[in-house]
Amino acid sequence: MVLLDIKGISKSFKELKAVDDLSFTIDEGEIFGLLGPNGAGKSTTISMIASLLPPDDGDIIYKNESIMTKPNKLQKELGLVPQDIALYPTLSGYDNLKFWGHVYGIRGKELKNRIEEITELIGLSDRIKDRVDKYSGGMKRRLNIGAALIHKPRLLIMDEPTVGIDPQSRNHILNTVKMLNKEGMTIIYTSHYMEEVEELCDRICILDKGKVLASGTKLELIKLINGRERIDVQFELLNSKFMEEIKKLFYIGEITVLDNRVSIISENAENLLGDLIQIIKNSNTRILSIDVQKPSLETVFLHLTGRALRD
Amino acid sequence: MSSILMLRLMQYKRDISIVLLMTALTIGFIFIFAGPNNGVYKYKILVATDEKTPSYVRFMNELYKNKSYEFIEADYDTVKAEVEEGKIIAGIYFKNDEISILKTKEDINIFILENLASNTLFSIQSMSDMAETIVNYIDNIKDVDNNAVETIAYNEILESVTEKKHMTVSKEYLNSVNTLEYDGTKHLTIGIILFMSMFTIVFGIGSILEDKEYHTWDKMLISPLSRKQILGGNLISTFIVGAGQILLLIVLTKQLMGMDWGDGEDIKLVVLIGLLFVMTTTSLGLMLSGAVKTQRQLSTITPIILTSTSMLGGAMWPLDIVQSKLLLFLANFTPQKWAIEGMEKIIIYGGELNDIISSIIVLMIMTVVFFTIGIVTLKHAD
Ligand SMILES: Nc1ncnc2c1ncn2[C@@H]1O[C@H](COP(=O)(O)OP(=O)(O)O)[C@@H](O)[C@H]1O
Ligand SMILES: [Mg+2]
Repeated sequence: MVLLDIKGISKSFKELKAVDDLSFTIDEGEIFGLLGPNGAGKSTTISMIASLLPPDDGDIIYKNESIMTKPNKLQKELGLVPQDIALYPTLSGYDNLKFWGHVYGIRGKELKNRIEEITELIGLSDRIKDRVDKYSGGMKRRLNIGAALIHKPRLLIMDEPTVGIDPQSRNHILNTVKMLNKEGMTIIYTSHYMEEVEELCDRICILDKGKVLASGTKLELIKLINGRERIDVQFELLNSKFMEEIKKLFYIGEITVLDNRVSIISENAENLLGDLIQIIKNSNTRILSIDVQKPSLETVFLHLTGRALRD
Repeated sequence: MSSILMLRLMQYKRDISIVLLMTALTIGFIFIFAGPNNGVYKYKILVATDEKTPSYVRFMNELYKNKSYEFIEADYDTVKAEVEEGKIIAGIYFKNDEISILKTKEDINIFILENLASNTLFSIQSMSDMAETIVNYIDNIKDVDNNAVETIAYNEILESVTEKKHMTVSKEYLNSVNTLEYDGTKHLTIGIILFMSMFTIVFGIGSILEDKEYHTWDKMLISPLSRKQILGGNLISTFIVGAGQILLLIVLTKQLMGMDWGDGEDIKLVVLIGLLFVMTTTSLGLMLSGAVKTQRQLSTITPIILTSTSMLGGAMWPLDIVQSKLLLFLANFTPQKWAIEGMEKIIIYGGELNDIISSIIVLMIMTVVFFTIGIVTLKHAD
């Protein structure tokens, strides 16, 4: 069942078109990934879904009704994990959860139980009575998620929930997301980390400069690169002789250079590897590493834009 | 709305040390600035006489000891002119062992001055009379230099009066001095309490800016909370904390320093004005919050605005010593002036509800005006 239908929404900030005629649908019970580099328009899209920002154009339909006329219907069932941590730093984690629970009308024993459940879910049981400004970045991120879950939302929107945290907290968050989804929660997951989106999401929409580049399941997206593989070579110092030689190979797809790293996409990876080593020898340059990449969303993005997802 | 109330009170609970520190600081300031013998202001009083008789000299010597007024000798015309021009609050004319007070209005400080002058005159006359009796007695025994003996006798009596304090005359005299200094204390105590509590209140309502900085504002907007509830919760929690602080300070100054807030009826009226003042200041804080974008900006402008309006409104010194017509006119636009005036009318002048109606009305009008401007500018900033 389609829960949310985004119909051609656009949003401009003065001259800048932050979101440009964007459309996608979200089914009940799925994890939907919104993938794109910084500035792609992900947060702006989320603000429009949450009715915090009116679109210039287009419509957003939640359960067959436009949220333009009835924002409350979605807002009641929405849990928002904002990109910027939204917590009261001088209060304890417990009091933060208590406040948001209270806001959603949860009281007394029910609130207490709910806070305990959430605290356990986000793995903060031993620190929940401490002030938030004493927390590490990862703990704040986890509490930020907990605060959005207190009222058991039907739709959870997470805007880059893992930015700038330690791997342990990150794994905890990814597992939490999977668990919530298993219990039936629909989730929109926004990130510029393609590994996370690959791991979590049923369907993915790749955004760039406010536009949809591609969308579909992970498999559908990888088909876009048609079985082509990618080899990344890290040079100590990249020289022009190498670049001249490599471009002569007839079976080469895109070549992307970032500092001293060269990414080469090719349909014929086996031949490429042999030829590559030969050229490196001839061009008198030292390499630090050669990676043969599995087909991934990173490669898809590179293929579609000629730019790396993270820069 | 109860959620916001709960949130703010939880935050205050966490910051209880700051609230307590502010209260302790206020008490400290009252001790330093309004404590006994620390009047920070002195009224200038000119005294004129046609003939510097011995009793005049004694009278002046006594007056010079007073700490609340600065007595300066001048000729009659100067005294009269300065009083009429309003350069000094009053003058004293000493003639034939009697005094008259030159004044153009009635106020508490002039009243106290009159008391002080007549008590002083009375006590030196009593002492002179005693000295004269002794002289007459000695005179009957032996022929001596009358004038010299009288002076010595006077001085000795004076010494015994001030040091041993066992004469009724001296008691009355000392009491009147105490009353005088106590009024400076009352004025400054009220002024400092109001001034300091304004900070708590303005920063309290300023926490509405905090939610934008903490990014919790957006989450509130998509929650079942309405803007009205958010605002209402903030206003009420600020009012509770502000009112609590003023009440606490009234109790503390009474208990710790013996500040006389009057009887039960008086205290009720003082509290009424205090609560109105909290409302006015809350609205003022709302208006200031609407004028800035961040809490940091608010904490930059707040001390400037609160200090300048408190000086203007007479929280630091009595408005009676202010000469400038413009400043006195501007004082009318500060809530401090009306709150101080109202409280003083009750605990110094012994006034009743009728006497403070003007203060009540002005504070209510200011509340409405500040509140309206605050709401409009806040909406604009959204
Ligand atoms: N309030 C705003 N005013 C002006 N420009 C904005 C505003 N919000 C976002 N933008 C711009 O819109 C573009 C998309 O931003 P955003 O939606 O935050 O991207 P993402 O979340 O994908 O990083 C960026 O170029 C950003 O600078
Ligand atoms: Mg973003």
